[in-house]
Amino acid sequence: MATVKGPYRSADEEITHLVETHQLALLRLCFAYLHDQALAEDAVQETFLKAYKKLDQFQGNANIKTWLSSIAINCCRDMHRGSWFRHIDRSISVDQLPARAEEAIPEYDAVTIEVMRLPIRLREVILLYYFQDMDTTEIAETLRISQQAVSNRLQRARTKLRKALSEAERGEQNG
Amino acid sequence: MDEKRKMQAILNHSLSGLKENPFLSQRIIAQAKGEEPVKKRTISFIGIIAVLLVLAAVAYAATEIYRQINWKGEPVETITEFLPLSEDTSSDSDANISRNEINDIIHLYIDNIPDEDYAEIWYKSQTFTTGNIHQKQKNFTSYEDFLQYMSSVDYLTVPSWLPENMISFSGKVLMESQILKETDANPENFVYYTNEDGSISVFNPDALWGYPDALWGYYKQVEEWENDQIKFCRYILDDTEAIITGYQLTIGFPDHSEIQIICELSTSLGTSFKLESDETATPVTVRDMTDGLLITSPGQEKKDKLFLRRELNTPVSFVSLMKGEQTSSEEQITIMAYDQEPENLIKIFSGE
Repeated sequence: MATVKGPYRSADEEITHLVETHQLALLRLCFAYLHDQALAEDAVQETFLKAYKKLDQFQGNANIKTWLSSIAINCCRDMHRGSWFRHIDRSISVDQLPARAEEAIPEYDAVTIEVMRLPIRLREVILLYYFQDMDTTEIAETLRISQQAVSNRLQRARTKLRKALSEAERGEQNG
Repeated sequence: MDEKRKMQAILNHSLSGLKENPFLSQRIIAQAKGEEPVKKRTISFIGIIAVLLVLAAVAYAATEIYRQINWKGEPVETITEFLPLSEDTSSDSDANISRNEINDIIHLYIDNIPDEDYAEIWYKSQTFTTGNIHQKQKNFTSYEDFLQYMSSVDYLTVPSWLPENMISFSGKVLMESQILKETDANPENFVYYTNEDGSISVFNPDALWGYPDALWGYYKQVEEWENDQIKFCRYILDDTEAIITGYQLTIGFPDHSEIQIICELSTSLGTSFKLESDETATPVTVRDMTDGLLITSPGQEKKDKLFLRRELNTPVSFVSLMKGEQTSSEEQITIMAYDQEPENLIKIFSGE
């Protein structure tokens, strides 16, 4: 049975801990990437399954969140490439965001929708940088592109998001 | 609050409606140990239809259990799939029109697209979304003409033998763009992006129907319209800009039976196949092919299927309007027929 380099945890205990700690963040990442809750849940399940099978390959000195995010983004990419996407509508609007218990902040939702509407190459960089808190080196490794390409994409994405972000800031100041 | 924290707070707030699955870790462990094969909802188009039908409140009761097998015919996992009790009758309550009627209308549009054009059409309502594409293609009614046309394409394999008693032949060769280039559709709205290799990708962020980020390659948009529920786009892909990425052949016989052959450059490797309880899978060796798997059933109600794959010596790159830049290192061929001798299916590409 695979074991992870860590203090006295079996693989079952380790994966349970990882699911408890990272499931929600990965679910949000995958939803923002795929625009579909059921697909996002599948991607998260696939991510943890792959992680479980590769626990013994995980380098203890690496960031576990980065590692899981890399697996998740690749699962999303696989799904995005699949024939499924030929048959569904990928547009996204505020009313397609999952229903919340707390009150919606329209300016926040506008920014989120703008992120989700970014072209896929810009979207994945933004999600990894801001949402998964990766740096450009980690993103470059995850997406197998150069660090310069990551910086270029981040710059382009920020340009596209600037208007929505400004409005969110104005809304905060007024509210 | 710094920029990163602010953006995290925004995304977390907007997506706070997503909930954790408290049983996920148990499912992962059970699945990893082979105790609980978990059905993936995204496995096939049949699955998509099933989900849509559930949403449309069509009654389900029957289930179908089948095995997933690999190229060697070895079982990978067992799948339970829900089957609808009735035909697809979901309809759009607003428009009072069924999915089948919508698909008929879409087919009508697609059938009237000139061969050389690329087109996509979408229908979207509160109840369901459906769509279809027409790839640039060249059609043939003669096997000899088809062979002549394909003689310069060294990365795709063509049949080396066809049954002597065939009475009809129809084929279409499908194409995508081989050049990454600006497109002239709504250029003022586009985002121009330089790839690592210096080439340019063009995105249309305002195209919220269909494929918002997929305007790569040289597809010149010549027609676009939409009403409340239908969106239509047509593009021209010049012959000089096109690359052949596959073909489909249909061969007819006097008893009205057919053999279908589908060949395509594959970018996502197919690693498993559906095997129903009454079907038999046999690995086969076919000349030049890396793998071969023959799936047969005893009766005449199901098609026999021969799957072939071949690794390419040199990967082939192309630009798909639907999926962006693609690099394929594999050719996949599927041959399907009712009531044909399995030896004949194998002989089509082995020639022996």
